[in-house]
Amino acid sequence: MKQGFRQSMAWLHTWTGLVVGWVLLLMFMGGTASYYREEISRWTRPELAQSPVPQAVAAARAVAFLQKNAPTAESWTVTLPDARSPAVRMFWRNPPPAEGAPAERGKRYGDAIVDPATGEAVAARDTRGGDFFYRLHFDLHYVPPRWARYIVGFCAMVMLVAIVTGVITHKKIFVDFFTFRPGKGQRSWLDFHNATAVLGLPYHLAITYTGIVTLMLMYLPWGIRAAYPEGEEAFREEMSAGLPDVGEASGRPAPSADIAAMIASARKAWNGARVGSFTVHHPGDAAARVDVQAHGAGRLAYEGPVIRFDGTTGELEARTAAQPAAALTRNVMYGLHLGRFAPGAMRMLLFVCGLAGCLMVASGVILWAVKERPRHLTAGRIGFGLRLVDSLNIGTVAGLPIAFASFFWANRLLPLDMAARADAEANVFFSVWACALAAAFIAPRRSMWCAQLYAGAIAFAAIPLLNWATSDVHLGVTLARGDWGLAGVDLATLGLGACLAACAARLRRWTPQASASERRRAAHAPGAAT
Amino acid sequence: MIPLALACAFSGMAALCLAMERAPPALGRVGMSGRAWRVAGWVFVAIAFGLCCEAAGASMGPVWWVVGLAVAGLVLVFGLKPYRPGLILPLALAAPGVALVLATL
Repeated sequence: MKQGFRQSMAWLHTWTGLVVGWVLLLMFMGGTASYYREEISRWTRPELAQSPVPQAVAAARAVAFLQKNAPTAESWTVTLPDARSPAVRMFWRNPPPAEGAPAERGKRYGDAIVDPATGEAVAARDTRGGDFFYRLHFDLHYVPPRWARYIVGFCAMVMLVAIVTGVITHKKIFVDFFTFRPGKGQRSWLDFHNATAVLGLPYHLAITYTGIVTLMLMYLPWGIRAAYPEGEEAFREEMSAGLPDVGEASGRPAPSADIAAMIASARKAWNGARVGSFTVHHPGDAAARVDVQAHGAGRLAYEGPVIRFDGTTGELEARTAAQPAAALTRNVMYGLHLGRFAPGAMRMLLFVCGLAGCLMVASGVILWAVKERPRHLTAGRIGFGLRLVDSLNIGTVAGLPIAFASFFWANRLLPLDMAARADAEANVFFSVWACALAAAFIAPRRSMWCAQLYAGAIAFAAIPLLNWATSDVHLGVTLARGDWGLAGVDLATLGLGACLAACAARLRRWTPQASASERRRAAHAPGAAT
Repeated sequence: MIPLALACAFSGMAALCLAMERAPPALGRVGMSGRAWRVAGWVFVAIAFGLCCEAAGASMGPVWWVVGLAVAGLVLVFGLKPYRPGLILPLALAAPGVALVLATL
């Protein structure tokens, strides 16, 4: 580091960006897709009916379903339908196995998706839907969750370093604010990287920082241990400004109060705000308690207010107080990262910002290779480092879109009665990505860029056709009934396919710029145009 | 009021973009000096902030403003400026008016 401050920051920016770039791209793409988690979940379950039902009716039907199907559960949690997700989703916690009985994995929790119009379980196909991308964003699927979150956190922190050093490195951040000069080789890549980064800077900074905040208690647990020697529970209770512990079940059965009335009185207490979900503790017991949670739309904070009712009398028992400032700060950052508050148009803008983030990361790793290439060309052979980066670039920047599209294809084409179908969909995603990476490592050439970009373009653009052929909620139906949630998925895949095709076509027509010496030689050559 | 706020964000960014142009006539920037365009740009960006907060509240408003400015900038830099530079000025002038008409309809 004997050079100046800016040079050393440039060095740091280059290498931090390169080291985590490919994982970051996966995270950015998964996160961007997660803005439409509910819509993708609906798209991947075409069996679900769209049937608007009043909240109170949906809640009553959910409780009836649970009373029939999970009467012995310790608690039920029900997410009520809203504009984005028309089905009632629920899960319940079964009592622990009797003393001495072996604990069976996967028996502790049950879940169901219920049609609020009929109150019956929907026989939807086995899929993770939008949750796959959401989980992929921070769990990386095959990696054990704990390690995945450490990896993701490390990448996010390095990303933060890359953002700050990038701003320092950028010499003409204001002068070049609106500058993009296409068709000029390395110059264009630098412009592109700068413009996607600078224009989206508040977004990139906020999304990276709040992303780290979502898992901060896992990354830095020592503060809590020092301040709360009695245990983490005390910390959580204080932070949630929350309700007292529900306590034990009494063991005496008792009839339960009307859930619709409780929801109505919760709405009244919140000046008519929507209810998002509710949890019944000890259902059917004399000590039953019902916690009603407010819906997240229009509120930045992740955790909203909760009201607790006595489950047998239906009387309001307790409600959450205003959170202390520190807890509220974290809560708002958490909420900002997840973006559940966003109405339709804002969600679209956030999605575009997310795409800009993907392009920033992609152009960054490409820029490294573009910058490096001339040196290798002068030396006469492509060195190991550049070949490695080229391969990884092709396999992720062009390969990941193919993998993302393949998830949608797997969702429609895998047999419906297949065992472990949801896992198989995920396996298709990673197999396709592995193939793309392998092909890129075998032949890291421009033709491979073209081939993979075209493959991604076709795979994405054909998704609406696939939907047309395999379901009855295709564009012809969804557009006609104005169902923009479902139609949007088809239209977005079509748009992404078109963009990838445009990139591929541009790449195919592109010819390398002649170097200055070549241009001079051509000008002086006998017979050259004068 | 959100469409009007987003339109103002776009016009503000467009004015700032025109102000920074090194060869003004290429983008049809006429009449005013670079400094005047810059002032106009900041004024519109500030108006957009006010409208966002007015329409969506003090917590959601700034989010609208930030993402609105970012997307307006991306449209300008990767769409209009390199490929349709002639459209920047007319669109920037028309956007708030159109949004205002739509809002009052």
